[in-house]
Amino acid sequence: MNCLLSCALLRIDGEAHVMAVLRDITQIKKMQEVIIQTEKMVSLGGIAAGIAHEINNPLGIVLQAAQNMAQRTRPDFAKNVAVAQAMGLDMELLARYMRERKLDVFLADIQDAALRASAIIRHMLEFSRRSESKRKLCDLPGVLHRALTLAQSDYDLKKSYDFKKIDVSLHMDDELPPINCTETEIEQVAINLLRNAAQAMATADPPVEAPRIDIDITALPGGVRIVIADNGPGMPPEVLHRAFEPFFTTKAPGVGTGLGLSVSYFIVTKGHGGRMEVESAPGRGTRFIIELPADAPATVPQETSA
Amino acid sequence: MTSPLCHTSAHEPPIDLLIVDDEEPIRRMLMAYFEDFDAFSVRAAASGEEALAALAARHADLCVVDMRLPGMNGEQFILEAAGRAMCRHFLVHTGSVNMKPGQALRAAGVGPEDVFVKPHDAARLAERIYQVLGRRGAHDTPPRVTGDTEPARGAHPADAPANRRNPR
Repeated sequence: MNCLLSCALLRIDGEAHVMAVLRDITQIKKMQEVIIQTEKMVSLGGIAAGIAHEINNPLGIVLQAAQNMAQRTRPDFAKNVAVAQAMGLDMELLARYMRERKLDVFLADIQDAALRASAIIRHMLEFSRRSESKRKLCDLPGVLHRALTLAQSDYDLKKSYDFKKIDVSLHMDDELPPINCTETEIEQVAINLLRNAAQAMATADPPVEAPRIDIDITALPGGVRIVIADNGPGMPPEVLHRAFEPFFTTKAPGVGTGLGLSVSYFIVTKGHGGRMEVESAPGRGTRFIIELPADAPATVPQETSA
Repeated sequence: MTSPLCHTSAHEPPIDLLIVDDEEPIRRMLMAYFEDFDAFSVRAAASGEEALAALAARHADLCVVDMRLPGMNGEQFILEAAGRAMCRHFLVHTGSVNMKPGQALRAAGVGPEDVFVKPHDAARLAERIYQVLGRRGAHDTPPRVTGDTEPARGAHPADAPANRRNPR
């Protein structure tokens, strides 16, 4: 706990008194840390665009090289056949060899990997470009997919979790009513919940046997319900009651700010006129339920969400 | 696709294509890709200045231009070359996700659908070239890396594989 102590000598009716004021500044200290962290994130957003450019160029080379290799080994391509014939090579045989030794699959894998890496970079950029966030007709399945991709790539040794070990299922109703939302904000909420679930399951003692996260998106009469449930360790009542409280965290120092859930709650309820609830019990996993109304007002002033 | 890809109709001369990119491997890769099609005659330049010199020697049908170049940037090159009517059409290929053609570029005929973000599928680039030069239908379209049939979507990289990686 951080405290601020100030004293003053005070004379009352000729008698000396000491007036001491002791103030708990723990929250202020934490706020300062958050502000510093936020500023770092803002400058990182600017750097991210430059990094994306630098990474996209080599990815372009990787993709084009793989595409050229695929094209130049095709047996039905007149130029390939002409060159091969001139040197006594049977292109059909080469194509068969490539299939036999799975070289065609390797080339496809290279192309897929390059496209995947570029998609991650694009999502990261879209996510960091918060200033442009605007309320619009929301592609909820897309938002959830992107959140999942980002959360899955957020593997961090310090945070000691690995999404690859988690069995994730995503289920959504075929017909969902149109929802107005700020996509990056709902994405942020989903990332927070996914990350929390992954961290909770990774640090559980005893370890979770078969960790899984179930995401369900269902249509409601006047909106959409998103449920993100895990089979992790769950929360005891005293933690559950404070789950949305700002700066409340059960994570190790440096892992959580204690703001993820409170910001998420703020985004859903104040930002989107929705509801957010949590159900959990020790050993029973955790379920977050988010309901977004279909007729969310499109003119709600945009608040900054850390 | 088994029909011959390398035949140009006798009535149409090859498309004179100029690739402007400061990265040697990218120039080499794109040249190799387009050289495989008889429909194209390909040149490359490492800077805007070099590209202007190449166009002064012979005008081109289309330029594929990187934006971040040493010396004059891609936009300056396009405006200069368009102003001097050295090239009929320009496509942008860039590593910047944020690239949106401004008023000047749009006036030079570069719309959002003419912007390709690296890494992109060269087959989409080829399709757009055929389209803007009115050559569509005369040639086979080269096979794409990406399986979908969606037309070029402007300032987006080839595809978001996240869609293909749905968890169950």
